[in-house]
Amino acid sequence: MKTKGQSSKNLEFLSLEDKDLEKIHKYQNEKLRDELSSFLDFEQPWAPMALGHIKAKIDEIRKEDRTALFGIWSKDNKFVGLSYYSEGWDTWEPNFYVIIWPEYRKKGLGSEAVKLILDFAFDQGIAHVISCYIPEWNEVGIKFIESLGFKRAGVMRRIGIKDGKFYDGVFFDILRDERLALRAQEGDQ
Amino acid sequence: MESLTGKMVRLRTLHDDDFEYIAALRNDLRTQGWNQRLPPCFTGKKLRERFEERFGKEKAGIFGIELLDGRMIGYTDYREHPPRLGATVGMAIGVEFWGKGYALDAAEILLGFLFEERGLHVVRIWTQSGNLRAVSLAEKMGFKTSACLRESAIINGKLYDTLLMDLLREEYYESKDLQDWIMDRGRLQQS
Repeated sequence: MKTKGQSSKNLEFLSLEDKDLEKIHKYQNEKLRDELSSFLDFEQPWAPMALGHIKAKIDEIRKEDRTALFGIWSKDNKFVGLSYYSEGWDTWEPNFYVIIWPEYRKKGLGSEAVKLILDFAFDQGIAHVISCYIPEWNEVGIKFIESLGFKRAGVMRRIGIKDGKFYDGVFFDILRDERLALRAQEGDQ
Repeated sequence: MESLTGKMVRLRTLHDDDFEYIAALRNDLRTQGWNQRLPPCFTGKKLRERFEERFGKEKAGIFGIELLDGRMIGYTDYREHPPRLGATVGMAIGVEFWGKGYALDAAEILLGFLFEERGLHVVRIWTQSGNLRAVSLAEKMGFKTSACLRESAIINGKLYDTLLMDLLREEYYESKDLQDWIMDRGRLQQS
């Protein structure tokens, strides 16, 4: 049974249920190994994970304080991605993660999902600033987050090794005032 | 390195009777230099539980800092993530021991351990832009600011930025004029 979640024009954020993990398993074993391994903080990000292993990692995230995991669903009832939103470190400065499955990309769903997260961070929470970081090899993700008004805040050097080279994580943040001003502009259009 | 002893201080295992002093450090807002104030109501017991959860793992450590005459002056810690690649470090020194070079000495010992014994590739410090003592100490050690997250700390009623400062292993070896094992691995075959 699906429960009522947070929704926007085309999307609904529902609780991430165990039956949803099969899709995560499929993509960690195929097209989204890097992204999902990074999300799951998997120690061998180049290796395929078993379904039970993915469940164990998800269960660890579920135990984190003040943290929510969502399945992202389209209004026509398709499971299109997942999201993580955490105030565990600080309710003043939450952070988040969004992954849209490859077949649903380039349709504006990622942008809508991030805006929905910002809405509940700023409208339902006391967040002052929201931050996230993206591995430098994810150039599409970096362009995407900048297009939503996030500002580049610097890098965390050498967060991992990929293809024989160290890579950095790129930090981004957006202040409450900045997002609310952008949202007002979007509303005017 | 043969021991965790420097010119003025040594790093050692925490003892049961250290926790009241560490709780006093945690409860002094002046020594809470990190980017989130914590309520100054820690007890030694509560801190001990917190430290065991956070640092009681193989790839993490916490040390008491003591003067060579045995007086406890603070503590320092590290957590590796991922193991053998990078670590985040922290430190607190009692206010009465500030300005004497003890923190610099302790930091040099810890960095030596992390780069020369653990073989790490990067060491990181999180602090906030109002903590000028920490920034100055980190810069003396060769750290540079690599990220600045805006307005994410509230200290003394003002907004400050969270700073991430880091030091790569080659920067460390260059600054110390030491030979890195990566450059020196043929030596065993010659001797």
